[in-house]
Amino acid sequence: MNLVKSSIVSCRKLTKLYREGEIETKALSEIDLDIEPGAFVSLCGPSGSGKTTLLNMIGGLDRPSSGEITVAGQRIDQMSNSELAELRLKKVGFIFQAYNLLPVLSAQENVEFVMQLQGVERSERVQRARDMLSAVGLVGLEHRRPGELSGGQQQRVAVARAIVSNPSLVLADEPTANLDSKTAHGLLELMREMNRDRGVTFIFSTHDKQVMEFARRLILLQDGRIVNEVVQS
Amino acid sequence: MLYRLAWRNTTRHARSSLLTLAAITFGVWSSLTLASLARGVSDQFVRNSLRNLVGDIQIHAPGFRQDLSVHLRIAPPDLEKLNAATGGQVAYWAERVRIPAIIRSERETVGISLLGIDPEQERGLSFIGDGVSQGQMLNSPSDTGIIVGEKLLTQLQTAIGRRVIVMAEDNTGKLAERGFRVLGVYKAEIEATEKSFAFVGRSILQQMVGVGTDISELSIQLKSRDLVDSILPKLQQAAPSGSELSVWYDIQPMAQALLKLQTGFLIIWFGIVVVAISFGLVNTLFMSIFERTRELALVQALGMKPGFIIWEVLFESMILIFFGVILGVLLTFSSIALLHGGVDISAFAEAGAFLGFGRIIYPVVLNQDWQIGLSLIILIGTLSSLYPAWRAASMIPVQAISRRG
Repeated sequence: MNLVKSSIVSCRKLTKLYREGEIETKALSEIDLDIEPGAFVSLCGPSGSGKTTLLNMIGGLDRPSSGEITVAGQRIDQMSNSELAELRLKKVGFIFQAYNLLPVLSAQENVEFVMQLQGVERSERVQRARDMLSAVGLVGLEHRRPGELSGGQQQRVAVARAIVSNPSLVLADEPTANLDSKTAHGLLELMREMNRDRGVTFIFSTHDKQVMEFARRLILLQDGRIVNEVVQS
Repeated sequence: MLYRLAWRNTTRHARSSLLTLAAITFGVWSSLTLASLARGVSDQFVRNSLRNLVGDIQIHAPGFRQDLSVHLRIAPPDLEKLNAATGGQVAYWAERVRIPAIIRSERETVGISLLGIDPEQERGLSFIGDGVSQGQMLNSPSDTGIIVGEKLLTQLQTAIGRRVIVMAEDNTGKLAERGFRVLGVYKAEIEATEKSFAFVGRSILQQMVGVGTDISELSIQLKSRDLVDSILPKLQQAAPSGSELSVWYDIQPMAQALLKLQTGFLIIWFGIVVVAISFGLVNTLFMSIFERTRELALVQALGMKPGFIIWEVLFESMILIFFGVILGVLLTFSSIALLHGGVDISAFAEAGAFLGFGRIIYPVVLNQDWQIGLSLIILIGTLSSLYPAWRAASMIPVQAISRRG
């Protein structure tokens, strides 16, 4: 099967093996996957099913043992560390379950961080960070450090940071895992709004049913294989 | 951004950062203060050696240093011409007649170096210019008295006011003899000096040995000893033809050797301090890095390149080194200011005084020591931080930040 160039993410026979001493574990097994631009996709499955591993491969945080991955039209499985960093900087936004923000920077500085790496001018950076924090409902909290924000507020800052630099793709690893259901619902609404209004592609890994309900496409993984796909309205 | 991150990460681990800062400050302070005191000791030694009738540069007849003979002499040089050649850098100069002689009292006869001097010219240049410890100093080059060292006076078993006979070879090779009354005695830093040097008026000695106005040596002290090497060629050109120039480190090679030896020891000491500081610095950086493994992985995940991470960690190290060096230097200046009156080590330094070391140490700041010491601390400190920085940059983000799901 050929890689689909029009897809934002395309994987072919993607395999990841982990070796611990003599024991070899297959985290991903010959995954074929295409995700179209503007998608709102959830990778679901039980713990150890390979959803985080797949997310990490797509984000260039980890390298496949074999197979091919294309992100935003670029083959990433053979890129150097520096090229992967460049790809993540320009094309991919990340939201992690925890340890999402840099504790020594304020909310606004965290949002500005990626733009600073991209070399965006200070005045533009500050304006865009403020607008984005306002869009995620954090007006007045710009100068607070992560330790002074609640878990939900921290995740909102993470969302703001992930999309402020207009990436083609946002990868979120269990973004609601540490949040109560009300806060989680608010965060999901926010991400769906960003997806709808800005056309940003979102891929989540989750085993939270509430998150799955928000996704338009569910990809179910088990033992490192895609076992089912569901498209929701 | 890198500066801001580095600064905040440094202040975030305040305790370990303060400990490292204290170690660097102490290292800088101890190195520079010790260097200043050590240089003070050697400076005193060199100063005493040069005041021991050496000066910075001497002009004399060729071969005179090897054979202090009355036959090896020069006509008095044109001092104005010499001073002009140095660009006015001559601080003091003295024309001397120096010959081997025998001094005899009623009880003892001793071989000495007899110097005919102008007491005014010696002031500021040599120890004899400081005057005598007992009795009276020579008044002029025509004074008919003699000044001897305290030890020589004891050896001769004579006293101030008594007469001594001095014998020396004259210009024709015959033995010249003259009686002198002991006017006064001097005390010198070096015991051997007191035993072997006696001073008479220059004109009297010239008359005694029949050399007219000729002198044995012209001793010159420049406004700064550091100028010696640059001024020497100019003086060589302006000096009377057929004369020879000797520099202090040729006349007193031990003083020069001591300075070189001391530089070597100081560099070794700086090296030890720098290694100790580097261990502390690397330890602090590693602790800091391990405490924020996930943060470093996060910034990599967000697109920060490994090179930036190396710079960020290096900046953290540089912040500690920078403030440590500043505090260390300020502390050193304060210590030197406190010690500017000198440290009296006479209780421990009797043997040293015998060899010409001073009884009081005055700290001396030598630019070269500060340049070497501070450069080593900054350079080695920064280089040693490269390893933890490289380790931080080599983290694989996924191993630090994610679990497998």
